[in-house]
Amino acid sequence: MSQSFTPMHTFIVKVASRCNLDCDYCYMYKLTDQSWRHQPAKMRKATAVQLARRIREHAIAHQLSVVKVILHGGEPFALGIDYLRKFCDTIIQNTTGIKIEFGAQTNGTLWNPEVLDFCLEYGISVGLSLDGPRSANDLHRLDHLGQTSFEAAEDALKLLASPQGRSIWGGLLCVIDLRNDPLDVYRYFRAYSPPMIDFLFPLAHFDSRPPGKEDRLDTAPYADWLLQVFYDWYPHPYANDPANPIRIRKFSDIIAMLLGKQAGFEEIGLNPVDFIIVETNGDIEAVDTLKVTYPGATKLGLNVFQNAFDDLQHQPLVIARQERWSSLSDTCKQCRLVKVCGGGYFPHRYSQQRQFDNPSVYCADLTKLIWSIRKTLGDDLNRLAVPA
Amino acid sequence: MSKSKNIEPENRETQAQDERVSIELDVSVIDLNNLGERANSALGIALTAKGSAMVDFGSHGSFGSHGSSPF
Repeated sequence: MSQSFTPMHTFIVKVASRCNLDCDYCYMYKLTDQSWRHQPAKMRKATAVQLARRIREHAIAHQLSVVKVILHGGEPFALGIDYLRKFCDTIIQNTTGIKIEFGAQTNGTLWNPEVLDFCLEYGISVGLSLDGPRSANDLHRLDHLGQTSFEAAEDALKLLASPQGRSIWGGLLCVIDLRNDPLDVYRYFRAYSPPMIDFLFPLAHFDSRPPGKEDRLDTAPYADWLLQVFYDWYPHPYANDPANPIRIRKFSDIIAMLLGKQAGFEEIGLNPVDFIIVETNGDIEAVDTLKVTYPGATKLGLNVFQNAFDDLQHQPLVIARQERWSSLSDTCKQCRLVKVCGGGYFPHRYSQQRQFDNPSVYCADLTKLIWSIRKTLGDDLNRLAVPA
Repeated sequence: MSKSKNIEPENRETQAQDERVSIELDVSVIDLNNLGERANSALGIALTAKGSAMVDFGSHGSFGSHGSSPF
């Protein structure tokens, strides 16, 4: 076994390979990789049983008493509660001795009180994808008829923000669109006091540049957008009650790392990536957002019926995500910010010419964001310093 | 207290040439019991770890990406 191999703590399971929405920026359906067309629409029971056995095998081998299983898609709740209940039961029944913490990522459009009750019953922590108020959300998140998804998604937001829903609410994922007013978006979310908001850069790389950076990559429009949110959030990072702060993941993790703490997640920092994707047919794949780069980018040639999760340790793509320093470009290795940014998100580094041997296509944005947050923190710390 | 002062975000080239600048900030001289009006700021919450959701140090399984889960 590779000494540097970090076991998988989280299994992102594509229980559904189809979605009831038709978001124009979706990496699953709208970009280069179209492999979803060859996947079963949902995971069969035999595949779920074998997946659970592999999870248990992996957990025992690495002495993991708790692992996370994330219901993902596509839209997992398009399969209905009955299916998802059977899926969760199958996982639980075949992972004896291991505690399974369930999560789900949803567009929220198929939610109702019964869905919430189901999630409460199984303790499923829920992340909701929503890009802001109607005007922001409707720029991209439409259904297959081109109709808005906003009302239905907002209903889910209200359910998750209810006293009951709050106990299983993981947070919000919001893809940044520079056309939206950042404060309108943030304050819309803040009114619901979410536990976490993750503002995401649009998936892009050097051969498919981000909106607003098509001509020049040394500009930082995404940092400018985020910094408007930061300066509004920083003095009072909560809706009403300081005891219930809103964690904005990029900001919180950058602050933590600037203060010398171990932090970071997949997009920033240098912590090993310890999650893996399992497709509906049981294929074990690398991070699904790599689908934005080139067809087949996520393929590892592994499947739960033939392979254990320990087989991941021999996969270059997995090694690159775990030994993140070794995957960095020379430019990043020589940059003092790398301890915080970690070279940026892996798919954002791609170019056909140099593969992933580049800084992030958002390097200028990350640089400005980190230095600006640092300045705010530094000024505050200077004021708070005990006189010598 | 910052290990380096007068850092302007826009002046990145100068920063890159200044080997004294460390990206990390020194918090060892801060009196955590005397944060005043900054106690409820993002910095205050991070320093005192109020609200576990705020600074989730060392958490596993965070994967933020387009359409992926925030856990």
